[in-house]
Amino acid sequence: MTCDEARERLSALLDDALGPDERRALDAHVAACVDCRRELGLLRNTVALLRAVDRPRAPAGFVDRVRAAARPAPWYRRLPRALFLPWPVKLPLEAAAIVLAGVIVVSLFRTTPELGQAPRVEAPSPAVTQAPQERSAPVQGEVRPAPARAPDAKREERAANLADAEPDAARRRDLMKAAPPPARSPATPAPPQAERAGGAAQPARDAAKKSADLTASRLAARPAAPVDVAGQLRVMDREAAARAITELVVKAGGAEAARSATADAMVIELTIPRAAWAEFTRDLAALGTWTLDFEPAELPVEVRVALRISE
Amino acid sequence: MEGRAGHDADLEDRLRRGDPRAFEELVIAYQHRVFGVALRMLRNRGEAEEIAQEVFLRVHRAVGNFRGEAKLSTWLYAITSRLCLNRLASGERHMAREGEESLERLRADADPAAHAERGELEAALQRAITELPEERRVVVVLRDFEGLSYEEIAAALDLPLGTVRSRLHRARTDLKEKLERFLP
Repeated sequence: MTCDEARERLSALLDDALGPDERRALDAHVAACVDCRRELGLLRNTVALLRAVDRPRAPAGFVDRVRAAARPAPWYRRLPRALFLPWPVKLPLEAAAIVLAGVIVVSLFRTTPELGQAPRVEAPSPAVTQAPQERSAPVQGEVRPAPARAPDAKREERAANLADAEPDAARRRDLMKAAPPPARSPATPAPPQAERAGGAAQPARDAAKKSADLTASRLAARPAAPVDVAGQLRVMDREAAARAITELVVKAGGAEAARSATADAMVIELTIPRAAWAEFTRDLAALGTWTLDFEPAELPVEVRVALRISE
Repeated sequence: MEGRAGHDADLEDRLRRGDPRAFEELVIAYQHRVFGVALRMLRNRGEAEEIAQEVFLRVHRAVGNFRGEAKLSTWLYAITSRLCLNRLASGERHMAREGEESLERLRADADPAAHAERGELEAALQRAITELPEERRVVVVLRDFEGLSYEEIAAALDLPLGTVRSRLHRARTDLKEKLERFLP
């Protein structure tokens, strides 16, 4: 046995953990080797030093604290812990909740297209709600609110008023929309107002339905971008005016984008270069009564226009 | 601990049957051993108590599954060692440097010279143990401070006997070199 082999076994020799053959060989080596004998002595003293150290004592009250910690918690504390604390339960629950929320949101958007359009409809709503009240009475000249009418009669009148004004309101709203959807429920914009205004008034309902139909037909012809200018042209002969406008557009170097017609009006959407805009409006005024609905302070290079032609 | 075999067998049996007094007896019987191992491994009283409490709580929860293949004491040392090694391996040792202290006290020695050297020796001993690699430290703690046999250490740490023997030898050799000036 070499010294290295002997020293590897000295620790086990101290613990009496060697087999008989190993023990005999090691004893023989140590008896003959001064260095290994000295090494064995140092190791023995080291172990004796370690074993001379007292064992530390647990702090006072340790048993009570362990006992208290081991006491079962009340059921109302165990329940949420049992539900949420173990990861194998908590993680799948959280993942399922997230997936469920996502599915609900997607299905809501699919089954209710109005939700997807809501932000875009909301933006121009102030103009929609104010315009009929401010403009419809003088323009249409049909309604004159009487101060001493019964509340029901007032409601009916207001419903009719709103319904009559709706074409203008719906048109402006349609024109202001940034990116309208390709398909949409026809009843979406108009009926709520008509219903709120006079749920019991049949004329109002009819008017509202009519305005909804009008709106639907206009929606189908909406341009992809909002218009810059909108106006109304009152003429004697609508078809003749439309032909004249086509010529004016060509003359101004513009282009017609869309055209739609209903029983009482025609809407033409077109583009006119800014440089030719002033002359174009003068020509329009020569065709009939030209009224601007709105116009920006500064026109773009290509002015997008929506014209409503009525007789 | 060997002399406690009969008592431990009875305690195990009562623990498995859910005797509420048995758990308290277990904590009373083993609190200093479990706490001692934790303190020597971690050198911090706060952490050592935390680990010792966790050891007993785990025993409390799992005693129904304890099949008695190992001794109750070996099972306790196994849990304690594993929790200490995990704590040392983790980054959770925020208190380690603040509360470091030594509870070890050399047994009262009538020799005045030995008594005078006690403070210096304690500090050197503590430092030498702390400087041991953790896998050697746990073996020497279980063997030379707690008196476990090689077989019990191998069972507690789930190591081959040869590994226990070589780690213990290296740990003692390291300690001998660091404490040589205190050795007679």
